[in-house]
Amino acid sequence: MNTFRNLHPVTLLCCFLYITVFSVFNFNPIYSGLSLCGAFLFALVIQDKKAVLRSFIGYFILLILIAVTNPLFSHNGATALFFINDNRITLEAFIYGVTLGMAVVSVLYWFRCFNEVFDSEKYLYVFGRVSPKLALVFSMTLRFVPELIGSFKSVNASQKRFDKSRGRLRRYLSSFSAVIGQSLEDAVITSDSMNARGFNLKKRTSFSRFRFTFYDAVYLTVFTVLTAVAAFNTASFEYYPTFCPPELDLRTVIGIISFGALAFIPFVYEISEEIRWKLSLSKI
Amino acid sequence: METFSVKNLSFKFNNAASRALSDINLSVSSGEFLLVIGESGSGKTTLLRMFKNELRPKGELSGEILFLQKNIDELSDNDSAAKIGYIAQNPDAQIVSDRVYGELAFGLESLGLDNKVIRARVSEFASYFGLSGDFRKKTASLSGGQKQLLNLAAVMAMEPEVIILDEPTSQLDPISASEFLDALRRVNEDFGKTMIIAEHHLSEVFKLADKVLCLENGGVKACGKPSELAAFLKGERIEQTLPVSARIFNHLGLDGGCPLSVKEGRAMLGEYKNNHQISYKEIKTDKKIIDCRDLWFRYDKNGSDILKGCDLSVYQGEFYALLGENGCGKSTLLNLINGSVKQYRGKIRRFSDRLACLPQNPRNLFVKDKLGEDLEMVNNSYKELSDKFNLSHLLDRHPYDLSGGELQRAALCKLMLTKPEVLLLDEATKGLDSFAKNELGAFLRALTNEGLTVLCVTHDLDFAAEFADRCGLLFDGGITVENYSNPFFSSNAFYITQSAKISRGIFTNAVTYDDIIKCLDAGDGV
Repeated sequence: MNTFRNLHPVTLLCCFLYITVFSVFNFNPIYSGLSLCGAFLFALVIQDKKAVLRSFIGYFILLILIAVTNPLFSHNGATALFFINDNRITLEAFIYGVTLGMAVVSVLYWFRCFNEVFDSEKYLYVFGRVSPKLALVFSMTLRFVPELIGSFKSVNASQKRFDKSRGRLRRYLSSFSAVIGQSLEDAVITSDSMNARGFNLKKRTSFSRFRFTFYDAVYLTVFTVLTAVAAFNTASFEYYPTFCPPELDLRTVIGIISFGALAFIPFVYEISEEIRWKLSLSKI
Repeated sequence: METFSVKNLSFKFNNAASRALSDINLSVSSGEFLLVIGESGSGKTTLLRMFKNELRPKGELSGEILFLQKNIDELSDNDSAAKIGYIAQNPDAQIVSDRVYGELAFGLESLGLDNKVIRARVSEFASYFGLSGDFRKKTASLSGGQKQLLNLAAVMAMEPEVIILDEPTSQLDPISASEFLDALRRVNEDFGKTMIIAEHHLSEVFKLADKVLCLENGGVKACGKPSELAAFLKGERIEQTLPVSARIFNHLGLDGGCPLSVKEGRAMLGEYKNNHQISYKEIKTDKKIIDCRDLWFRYDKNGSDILKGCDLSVYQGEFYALLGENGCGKSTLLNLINGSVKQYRGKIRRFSDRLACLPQNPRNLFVKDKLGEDLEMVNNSYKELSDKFNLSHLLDRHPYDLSGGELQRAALCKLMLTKPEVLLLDEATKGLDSFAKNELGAFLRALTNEGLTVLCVTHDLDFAAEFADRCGLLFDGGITVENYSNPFFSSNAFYITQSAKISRGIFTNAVTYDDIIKCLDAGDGV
């Protein structure tokens, strides 16, 4: 199941943009932690579970690496844990490193999800908004590159037979130049076909099959409002010289809840759709 | 109303010595299905490109072309793009977008229509052409036939007055080709669109046409109704491309309407029934050169099996044609024999390690700028062989500039320079016209007579019937029918040549035009 991706590209783009920008610019273990959990759970439901869990080891090592490296270079902080070569290793610097690690890993996870959800069609749509010609170039590239690789493979396979006198590298080079020659030949046909269908006409539009529905409007509004509320009620967190966690007053709590909601919406959306699907199945 | 009216049209390419088109007069009325025939180089493509402003080659033009009674040069760019559709032969290279719906929308985007209009048109034509299931797919995932249908649909979405098609089925297998022609017929009948189509395989398309124009050396040789024209072309070289029924009619020298379809052909042939037996050569040697036993193969671990216990034996010096539908695993079997992929169960014994493979796209064999250099790369003493393959005058040309038939000969020559004992061919006749095909077949026959073994994967039943010793049908991962060509085609029910369809039950084992003529001539003596 992957239904979050069926939202409109603009809605999706805003959602990912809000979350990642917010996680990077608000440097706070609470936000980073929420962002990381949201991203991890979302990845778990939209991607192959085994692959996500396996990848978690790598990301976890990265997180630890950042957490350990920071106190080696930054010696600020009041609570000294121990000394290496007269350098203070402080608890504060370590916590700072953990926060940094969580922020980096969460952004990586969000990108991973973004890649899964935001396929070439959606990029095409976004480019098409900017310039229809740009969208066309993008679409042609997407078609051209795999084709080029495919024909390189087949030319290279056909050339193997004549290989006795030549080295492998020379074969690759000559196959490559032959493939370029072939695709130039084909490009003439493609450009004919484009001209025949009015490519050189003045005003070009860009078609997409996406429609901005009522739900997209609702979700876009929800994302924007949550981000705005969270941004106006940020909880500042001081690390040095010693921890100074934000007071848990109403404003801070509202800020944290708003961001938490934002970070977990993709996951909750996916799960609730799955539940709704199962319920509707049981009704049949 | 006339869609096109051509008056005294002549055309000379820049820097060319002679005229490519001379003194052409032609009228195409609205809703007419015009078929343009002629040998390679007779000016079919040049004529078709005259009708499309964007594609008209540079050169000297005289005479005039009227489109809907107005001079075609006065047509606005918008109208020229939308009202006159053009489809070329290569289904792949014509596609621009990576997604099916993007391709359908391409022309409409050019016209600057807004999203709503495009959505409506695109969905209409996707469903009309049966592409709705593939709407969101990548264009690369479509088969050749589907790609050409997509090209047709993309042109139709712009709602043209006329569709011009330059050998649209030459790269397709016979089944996809007849599906495509059927789609053309429907478009012609349902919407009354004017069609101008150039083709060199005429057995299917000939009977669809309202009018046939025959070009020769850039001039009009004849123009008229299909059945009249078929009779008129009696004795001409181009006659051998006509439907078999028409050729038999001409051979018999009958009067009246010339038959074009199998049905009419059978009615005509019925009264000549006799018992003449067509003899065929049985292979003398029993020396196997390739022996496949119980081959199982799949591309992905979790994919489905392509080959399921396939057995195949090829004997030395024979010409074996491997037939089968699109995607049945013919090329896969060839790759297994070639050793480029490996079976996961079963055994292949090759009694010679000198195998050469002619790929589906013969261009893949050439990497140099001149044909001569490419041949020299294999063997310095290539002169003798290049003479034999009639290539001596082409050695200074770029391989990509050769015609389909020349390229295929050059590819054969390059492979033969490596002195193979077994030649594997993958769809060798794709894109060749009848003349080039017969030439290729004759070359292959000559090579097998010298002891070469040929294993040819093909869709082309006529080619197999004409030249192969034995044929095998690959179906559901195994060879289900295998026999000498004559009994193969005369005992099958559906998978048979046009000639076999016509002569079935009338003559025994007559599967090619020549066989039928032999039977007819033998009948005369009785």
